[in-house]
Amino acid sequence: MLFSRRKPEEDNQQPRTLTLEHYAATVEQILHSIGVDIGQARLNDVEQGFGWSFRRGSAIIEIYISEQEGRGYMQVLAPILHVPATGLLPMYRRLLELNLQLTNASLGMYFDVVYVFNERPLQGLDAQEANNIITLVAGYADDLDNQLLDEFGGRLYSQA
Amino acid sequence: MSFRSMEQGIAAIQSGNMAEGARLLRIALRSDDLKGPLRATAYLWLAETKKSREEKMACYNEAMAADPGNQHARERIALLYSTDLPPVSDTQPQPAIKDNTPPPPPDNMPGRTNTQHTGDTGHFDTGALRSAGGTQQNHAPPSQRAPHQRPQTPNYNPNAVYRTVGIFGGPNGRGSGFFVTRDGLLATTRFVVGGETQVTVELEPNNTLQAQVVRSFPELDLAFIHTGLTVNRLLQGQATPVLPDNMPLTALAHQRRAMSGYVRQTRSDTKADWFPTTISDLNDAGGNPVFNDRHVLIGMLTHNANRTSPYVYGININAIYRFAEHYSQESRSAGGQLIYCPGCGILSRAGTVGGYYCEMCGSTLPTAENVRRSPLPQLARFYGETMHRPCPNCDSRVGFFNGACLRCGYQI
Repeated sequence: MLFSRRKPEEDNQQPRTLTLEHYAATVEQILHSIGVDIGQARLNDVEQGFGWSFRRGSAIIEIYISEQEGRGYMQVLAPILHVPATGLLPMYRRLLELNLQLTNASLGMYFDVVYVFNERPLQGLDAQEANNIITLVAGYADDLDNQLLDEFGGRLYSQA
Repeated sequence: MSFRSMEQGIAAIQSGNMAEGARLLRIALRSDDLKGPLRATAYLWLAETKKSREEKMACYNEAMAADPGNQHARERIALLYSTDLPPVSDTQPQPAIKDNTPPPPPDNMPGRTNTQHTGDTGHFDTGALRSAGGTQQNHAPPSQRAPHQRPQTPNYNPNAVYRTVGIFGGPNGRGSGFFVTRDGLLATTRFVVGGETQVTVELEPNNTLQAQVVRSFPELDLAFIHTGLTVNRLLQGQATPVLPDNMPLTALAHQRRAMSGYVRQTRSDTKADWFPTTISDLNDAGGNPVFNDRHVLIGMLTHNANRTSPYVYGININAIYRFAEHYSQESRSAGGQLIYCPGCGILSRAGTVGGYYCEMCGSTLPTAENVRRSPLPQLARFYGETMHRPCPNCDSRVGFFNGACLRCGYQI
């Protein structure tokens, strides 16, 4: 899954010295180093770019590498919860309050699923930083999923 | 003889006979027998019979000359300098002690004071004098209480006119407020109280109490605080829906300098209930009562300015009274059971039936802050989630916005 994003205002003409394939290889190296089975994690139906999905603790992590308008991006997402059918006002408010507290990550919704989300341009990305981002998003997802479920109901994304 | 005259003079003032009280006090002050703290007390009482600032100041200065360490005189001088109060013709002193009970014994216990402050008008307990013939210990300065500490019993006179009170404990520093109902409801700004449910109200220096924020209207930057005090005399307000341009204004900040200005002429439309001023620098966080040139209350100063000028706006007193009445009716209609939501300022009904969240803004109610919360689908009606038409995609009844289900985003 790829979220739409704002059009970049500048840097469109910057030369890309590294290709998406190069970054994909870097991501796979990172995933391998943290014990992810690359063959299982790789998503084959990504339209523009590469994708992986795997578990980290209780969280499901999705990583996408893609190119949008001449610029490469890495998105790290953790779907955590299907929202409940009632009590949305307090839940949405809580999500916004939590959003203000997160560092280098944000909460968002896509259809009826709440995500923890991070996005970063590929340019300058190294293995250490990519690993930090994955760990950060997984940590937030792990902390928030049960907390939100207990208070507002709904259904964990990882549950059938 | 001089003691007797002084006592009679004070008694006359307490009974409302200012002229006779002043005459007797002047007789007492002619005698050299009256010295030190007693002489200062006589001048302080004499000041109560004076209407002009200059005359009052002269009496206070005499009191300071007679007793250089006199705390009451010092406070009155400071008050006069700091607030630049308008004349108080309609708020002449009321008896601080209405009966003739014997004066309290000399009291050295911490936390006790044998002098009663009664608001800006200033009254003094004659107990100290009567016990005397003037024993020195009865003129000891009142013991100091740390600011923001709740007094065991609020020290106030229900017959005094409190032009301003100080409000502490809000997120934006100290503010001011004033009483709008006789049952002790204070008006101030939402900016002053922020999202607090409890603040400290200072009636006068070292005389504070804890009070509850009971309602706020963020759209008008207005908040009401319930003190639990009975206030028999309120500021005299004037019901003028529209204030004329260039009308002189004076806004009082509690225990600080008054702010003067005018109703500002403006070509832009001013929202109903607001009036523009030429005041740009507030002496505190706002909530200051605003008086016209006849010293009639016409509104309250806020911290709000527009984008192009530093001049702040005031709220018309009509609106304040109207919203106070609205709060009163709202509170009565539910028997006082509704729960104040500090998030948006409303009185929540959801909280009265076990709901954890405000039905207006969704924030957690104070009553549910420290409890284990779990889903309560039976309260969906409070949150507008009982739409007749369910979402064809997720079947929820939470409603739609711009044609999209508020739960799943499905476009109908």
